[in-house]
Amino acid sequence: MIKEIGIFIVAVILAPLIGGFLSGIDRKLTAFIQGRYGPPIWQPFYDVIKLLYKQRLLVNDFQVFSAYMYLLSAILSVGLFAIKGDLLMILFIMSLGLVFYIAGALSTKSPYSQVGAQRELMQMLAYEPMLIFFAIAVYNVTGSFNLAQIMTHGKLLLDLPLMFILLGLVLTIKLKKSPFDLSASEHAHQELVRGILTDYSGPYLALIHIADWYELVLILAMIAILWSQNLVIGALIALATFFVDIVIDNITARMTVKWMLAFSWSISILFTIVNIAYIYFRR
Amino acid sequence: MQSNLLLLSIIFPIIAGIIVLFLRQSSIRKAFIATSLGVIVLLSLIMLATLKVPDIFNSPAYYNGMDVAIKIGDFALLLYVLYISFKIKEWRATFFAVLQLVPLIYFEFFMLKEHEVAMFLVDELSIIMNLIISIVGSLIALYAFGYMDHHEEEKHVSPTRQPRFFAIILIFLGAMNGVVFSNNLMWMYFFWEVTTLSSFMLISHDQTEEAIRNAARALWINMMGGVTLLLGIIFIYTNYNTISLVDVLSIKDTEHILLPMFFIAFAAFTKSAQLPFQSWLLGAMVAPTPVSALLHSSTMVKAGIYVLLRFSPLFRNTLLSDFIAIYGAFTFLATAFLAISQSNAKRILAYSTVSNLGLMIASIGINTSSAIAAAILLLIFHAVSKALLFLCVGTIEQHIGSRDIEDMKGLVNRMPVTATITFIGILTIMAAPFGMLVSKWLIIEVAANQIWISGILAIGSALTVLYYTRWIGNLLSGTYFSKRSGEHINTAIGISLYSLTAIAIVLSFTISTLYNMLVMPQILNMKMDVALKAVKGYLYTSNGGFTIYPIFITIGIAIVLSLISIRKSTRIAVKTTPYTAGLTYAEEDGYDVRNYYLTTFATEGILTKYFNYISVVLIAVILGGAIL
Amino acid sequence: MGLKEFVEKSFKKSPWVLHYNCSSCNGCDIEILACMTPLYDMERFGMVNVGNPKHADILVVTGTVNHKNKEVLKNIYDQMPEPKVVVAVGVCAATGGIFREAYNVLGGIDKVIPVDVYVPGCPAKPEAIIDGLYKAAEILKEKYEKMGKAEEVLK
Repeated sequence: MIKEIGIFIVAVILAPLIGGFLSGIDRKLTAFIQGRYGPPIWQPFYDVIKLLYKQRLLVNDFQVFSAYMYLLSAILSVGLFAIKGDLLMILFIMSLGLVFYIAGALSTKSPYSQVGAQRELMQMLAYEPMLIFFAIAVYNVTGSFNLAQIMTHGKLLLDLPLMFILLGLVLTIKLKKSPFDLSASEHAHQELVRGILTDYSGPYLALIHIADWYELVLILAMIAILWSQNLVIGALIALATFFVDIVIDNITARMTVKWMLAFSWSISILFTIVNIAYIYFRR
Repeated sequence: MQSNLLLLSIIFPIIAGIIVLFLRQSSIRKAFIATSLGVIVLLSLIMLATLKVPDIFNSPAYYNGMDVAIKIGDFALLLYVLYISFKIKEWRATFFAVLQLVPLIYFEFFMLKEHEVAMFLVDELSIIMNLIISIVGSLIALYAFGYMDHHEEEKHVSPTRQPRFFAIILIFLGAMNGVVFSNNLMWMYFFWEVTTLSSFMLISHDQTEEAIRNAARALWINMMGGVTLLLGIIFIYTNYNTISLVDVLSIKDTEHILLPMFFIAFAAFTKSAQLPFQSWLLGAMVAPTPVSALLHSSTMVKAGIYVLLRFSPLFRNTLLSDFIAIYGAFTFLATAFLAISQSNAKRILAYSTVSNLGLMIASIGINTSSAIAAAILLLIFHAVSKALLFLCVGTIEQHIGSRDIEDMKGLVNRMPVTATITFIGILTIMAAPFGMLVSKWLIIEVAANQIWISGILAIGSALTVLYYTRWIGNLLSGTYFSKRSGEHINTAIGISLYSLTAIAIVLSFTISTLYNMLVMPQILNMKMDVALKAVKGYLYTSNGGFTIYPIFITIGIAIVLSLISIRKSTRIAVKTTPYTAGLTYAEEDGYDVRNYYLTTFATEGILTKYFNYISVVLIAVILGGAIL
Repeated sequence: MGLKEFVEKSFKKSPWVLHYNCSSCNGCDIEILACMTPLYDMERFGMVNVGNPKHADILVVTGTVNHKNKEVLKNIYDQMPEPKVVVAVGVCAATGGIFREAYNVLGGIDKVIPVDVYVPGCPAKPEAIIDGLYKAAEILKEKYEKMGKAEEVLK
């Protein structure tokens, strides 16, 4: 029990450091691809610390609660992942935070924020089923939703190659990267101002950035357990996926909501069915 | 003694209802109804505490009287339905009433060899249903005190039709108790038909043209269900020569049971408004809101689920069961799809009700011990939360004159209490760690090796989150500059809203106790191995576990932190306006954006048509599963 | 390095820039955009162009203020959280430039909001703009330090 609490705390402390570092690499790499020099690698930490110490600008009280809920449920899901909880429960906790994040943005009366939130809802609709499909597919290989038991299967990647691609897709949608940067318009695109983040400002924006780091780490960890025999290799696979996502981010243009839904649903249903058929074929 | 208690729980509400018809004085009537409701709740609590279940109960002294009364009641009821159907010219109802009358006469007079069977079969499932009917039902009836006064004032109803309204509600409560306690299948059938009739009378309560038309639709669809229920019972009798539920449940030779099971399942589908019968439930939304809450979300539609649960051991591990699971899952997904195109709050709730009932049917169809546990848990939590939401929408509608969620923008400023309660109600229905989500988690886990069903459930739950989240956003929208006003809540309405909220949260919080006390024994009754265990808020099977207290703690921490943050902010922060591209913000002008309803590919009319076709095919497949 | 120093450094290292075109002729705006191109790359200094005053630290204004847009400028300034710095880019923003005497023009933007850094030029060169932004980032840090003291007084 004490050991588990220890792991929980260590994971909760380490995850944002890793996440921030990765998003620093993201910015540096994007700059490299665009032929720029780019910010220092620690830039995300400077940004978040600065935001934390800026003045609080509030639009309504619910927004504050939403930001905290989003952060805390992300923390809880990462912690539970670290102590090897139930995969499906972790996904549900993640979506609890997301509900508040979106409702908080919907509750302000700024049109940009509301449109962003509506689009985020669509993005959620695109990737939530994929994550549950992933859990179901994992169950069909390992016979369990418990991470401790899942991780006894060393080389899940060989059983679930298509679900691995789906997770890569989830990562792109979740991080709001092109071609799915619909809800918050990343980079210099500003037609929605900042979409769902428009009315979260100062410290609350910082909380959301930190929560995003946690979720980044969580999804990378889900990819990493596909090679749980040697977690170093698993982590390398996860990092490779992340880099591929950054490259895709830089070479694609944004698509519409409708295209995203049609694409992600058809791909996810098709891949899941083919992959599960493949599992039974391998046996 | 104990069987008299059971008899009382059926007879007392009915007698009280008949007395209410003659109480014209408003205050006396209310006092009388409140006392009766108190007695009903007390009776159910006494039964929870004293009855040794599962067991059969009998009081021979009253058996013959009851049996004769019910026989006469059967015919009287069908003749009355015939009379109504002539009056409103609904020939389909006439058709199905005749279709029931003929086999009933033949069965009662020529086939049935009279022998006495036990009066009541009570197990944990009946107790759970009884608790829902008595407690949630009473709270809804209490709510109706405030609601109906306002309703009649608004519609200029004079003289008051409230005696009739409350009489039917009370009779309905008695009839529901009858459905869940009866051991004699013919009694169950009678009470089933009484609930159909009371549903008709309550939907048509306002006597507008639309109300009568929709009530007629509810009547004929449910009468059709009645026909198949009766056919199912007759088939059981011809094959096994018994109409006692206990004997039916202990049948070993299940060769001839599947066809009657199909008929009974069909009756359950009509009662639970599954596709393609969902139209009656949507039409029923014209009724006063307490009716929607009581009959069309928390109790009467659950009668279908109850019957399926009751007979589920008989079709365990059959093709029929698998097909029922697929049918339920399909309904869950299809109605969730239909719900996302809706902006009318009551229609959203109606579709969501059908959707959740489909989920229950899916998990009954999966028919493993954990799946049955999930179905029962879902039944409990859904009854409480959905009733609460319906009552909230009723209150909102009476204040703002609309039930459109677009008109509920910024409701938290105008009706802070009700909006907050609605928010909590929505959370209890869709979010972790509340009971509904825990049950959904359980269903997905037990369905995981049936890839079709679990895949459908995954998409359906994402859709559920979609249509509830944007409702939350609408309810809570507002700024510090919004015009605020206090809210006056009628005492009766307040009591029922607060208690239902409290029940919803406390039940979720004590889910492991609830499971160990009521659900697990029921699974043992059904002669299954218990796979799901629960200790201190941690529900686990061999495949995984869900723990709720950390999530509650997280929510608690978030509340504390945000309160601290807001308090601190009042000194050093600026309360600012939303970003509107630098234009001077005016609260009234509003830049409100309508929600996305995805109308380009989720048009209600077209989708309904196709979904109905698919569901008819699926029902045919279930029939095929029963025959093979 | 303690937390306090790190926070101060963060303010200097991460100034987010909001660009408002206050009826400018687009000459200076193009030069500001040029700052973001690979040739000048102002993200080297952590400067990000944001579209939202609520996220911004530095307000970069080009063009003159007239009666129509002074309210917009004021609103945007008000919606920025403290500490905040204003940079007036180009001679129009600084003084009104050749439009100074026009009937609808108020003059430089300092008639409406307090300005910390003036970047002259018509149009201002990208090098000059980046220099001005860098100075603004230093002012931002100073303002943060002052804000901390003010908060202590308030407590």
